Amino acid sequence: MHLALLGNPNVGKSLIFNSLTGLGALVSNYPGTTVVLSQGSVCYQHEMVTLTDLPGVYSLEGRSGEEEIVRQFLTRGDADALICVLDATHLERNLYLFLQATELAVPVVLVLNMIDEAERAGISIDTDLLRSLLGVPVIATSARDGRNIAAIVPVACSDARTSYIMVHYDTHIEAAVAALTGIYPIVRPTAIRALQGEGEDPELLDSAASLAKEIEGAHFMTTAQIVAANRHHCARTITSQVERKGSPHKDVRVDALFTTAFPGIPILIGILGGILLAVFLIGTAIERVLVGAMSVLLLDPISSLDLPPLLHQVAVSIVLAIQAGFGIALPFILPFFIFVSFLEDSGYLTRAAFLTDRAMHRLGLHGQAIIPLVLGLGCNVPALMSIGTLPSRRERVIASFLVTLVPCSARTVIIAGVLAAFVGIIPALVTYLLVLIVVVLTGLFLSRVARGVQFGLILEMAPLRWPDPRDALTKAWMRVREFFIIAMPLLIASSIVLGLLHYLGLIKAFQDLIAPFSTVVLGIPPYAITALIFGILRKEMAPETLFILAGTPDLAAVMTPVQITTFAVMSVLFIPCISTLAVLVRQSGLKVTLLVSFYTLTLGVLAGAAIHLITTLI
Amino acid sequence: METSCGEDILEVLLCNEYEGRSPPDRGQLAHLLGKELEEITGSLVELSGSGAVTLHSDGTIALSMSGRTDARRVVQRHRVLQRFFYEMLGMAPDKASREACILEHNISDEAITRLGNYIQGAGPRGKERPGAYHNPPLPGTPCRTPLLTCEVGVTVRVAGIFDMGNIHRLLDLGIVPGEEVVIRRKLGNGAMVVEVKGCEVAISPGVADSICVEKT
Repeated sequence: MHLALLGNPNVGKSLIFNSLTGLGALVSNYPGTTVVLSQGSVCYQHEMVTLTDLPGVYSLEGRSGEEEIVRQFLTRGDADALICVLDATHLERNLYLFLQATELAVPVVLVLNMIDEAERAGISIDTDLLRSLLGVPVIATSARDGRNIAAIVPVACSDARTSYIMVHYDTHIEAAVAALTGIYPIVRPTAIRALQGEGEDPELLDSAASLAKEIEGAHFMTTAQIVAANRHHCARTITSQVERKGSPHKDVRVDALFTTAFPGIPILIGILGGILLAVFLIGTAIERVLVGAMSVLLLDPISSLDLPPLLHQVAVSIVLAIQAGFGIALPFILPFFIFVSFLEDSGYLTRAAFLTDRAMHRLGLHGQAIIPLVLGLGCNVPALMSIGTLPSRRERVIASFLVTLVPCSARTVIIAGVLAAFVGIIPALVTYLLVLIVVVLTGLFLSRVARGVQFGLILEMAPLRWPDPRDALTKAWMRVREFFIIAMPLLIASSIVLGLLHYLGLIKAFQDLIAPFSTVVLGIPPYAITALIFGILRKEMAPETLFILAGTPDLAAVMTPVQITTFAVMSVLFIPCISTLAVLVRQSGLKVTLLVSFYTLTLGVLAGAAIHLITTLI
Repeated sequence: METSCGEDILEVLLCNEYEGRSPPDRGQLAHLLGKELEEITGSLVELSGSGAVTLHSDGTIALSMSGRTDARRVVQRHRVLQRFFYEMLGMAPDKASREACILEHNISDEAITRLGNYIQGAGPRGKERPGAYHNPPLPGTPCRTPLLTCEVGVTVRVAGIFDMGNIHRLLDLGIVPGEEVVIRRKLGNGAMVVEVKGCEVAISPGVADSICVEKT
């Protein structure tokens, strides 16, 4: 038995999923795709029931990443029954997706979640009438206090039905659907999508386009508008029969503070700055302890084991990779995500997106992209994981570039630990500012050259609510686990390769080869280049390696301030770390990854050369 | 003739945008218009002089914000006229379109508004309307009030949406012709939060400009 949870964003779907499967749920690559879907299993009557949590969508049509994923999953027909989760406080709007789901002719169960909130708002819903209108089981639940959650799986396994409700489309649309399904071996939903210009079969799209053109000529509305209006009308008809409205929506006063330019924008800056500062302070403290402990507990014993040199090198490389993975994930990503999950659950992030929309437009993005960019300040890896939510390929490409340039906490550590410590606080601040300027300039440039149409912001504002700390923690933990699944294998592999290169003396050879270049063009000692290369593994490793190669933790004794500055600026701009690259390949493809690598490499080298050139001229 | 050529260019550029293709260069544009390159050069210079189109350094031509507004006006005039010829006078659709192409450049806004109202009053070939959702208002009358111009606290009804090929989310969230929305918040640049079906939706100024509304 395979069940899938379907619903709009913010209806408590994931909460239901978590409370049904527990924290042991597996986040796995969905077979045949590169998409990560949460899957878990539940035991019902001595049978294993697989449960898949689909990403939140508003529609089964449309071209956004999530909609594609959900559609792909549903058309594969893997799910034996769908659990449609609807927000009881917004029944009419939520029924829209449900009506689309019923067109797929899959057995469904309707879960009316947040029934407690609906009751508080004075909305009462006649579930019996809803059941008889739709012909499917209806369960009123409240995921927050666990009400009726236990009933979902048993009902879905034994009682799920195909709904007999059918949206009556405009007569022209119905005629066109009949014509299309008559000619081509397709089902009704495919025909309706084709009429809206969506689908894969070019021949079908051609015929659909000519039909659609006629319909649009008669209605002076696009087919997509007609279809959507018909569905909403059907949803309204149903809702008006089963729902008794409470008091009208009240404008929350706090919300007014968050969504006006003043004081909204100062509040936004305060919240983001506060989170960054907190994560940075917590992160560096934990990282020091963690990396130190690992060195003592793992690296030192290995050195004392007296292994054959090759084996020793491999063992050390593996430990270094584990150190790198944990050194980023636990101290920085986890606290950062706890904060962000809190913000997300509270509904604040959508307000931030609204406020920053205008500024983001300049960079060729829109408000929603504030989320990846802010995440990027903590760590690029989770930031890139979240760019899948952006609506167009163009925006995802631009965001890929910008996010990898955003100075993550590791790069901030370099600026603070090397520049501020050995050169001074002013150059450190200037460098940080410079990197941010590079981000903005890159955005301005890309927004001009990137292909594709720019989409405007259309974003539902999640209702403001006080987040449940347990949910936020769970969410943060799931994301950290995702990071481990993606980054860890790559980190270990690349660390071993780098270790072997070092063992075979190839890095030394490279260092000798690069020496003239590094001394003449960049003005830094060749071993600094080696340190930069190790920085690809984990950014903080660049200064650490440099200390070892320089033979002293007091850099000022062996390098001039200018050399230290060059090194710091280069390692900050240089190719992002290997974990970032791994996620980038998944999210945006190899081509964009190579472009980003090339761009950052050029940027780093040019910046280094420029500093050297200017200082020698002066 | 100069203005009509300019308006044709705007129209073609808008259609091109609507179909989601990348901006054309001069040659492609002339081809789309079915004209020679020399014929459109003068109008192009004039259009870029008035700021309606932007000539990019790579040779492509794109509509500016003001040019897009003008282009929409032309398309609307075209639609109203075409509909009048097709539905009221019973001409063949392609012929109606050709006639509309000729007349659209010289007709006044008032005449178009009145013609639009006339068509709307008569109904499409006298057929009965099954309900607000099945046949919403606004056939092709020029948009007098874009949502962008509405103030906070006002309740309006969506009359029509200019589909630039990127509004599926808008439709999914319930912003469809015939639906009532309340403007909840508005920033200085025109970005706004509207309430529809009990949910709040944030939209950027460009999107708000493409939604045509009427006061309730």
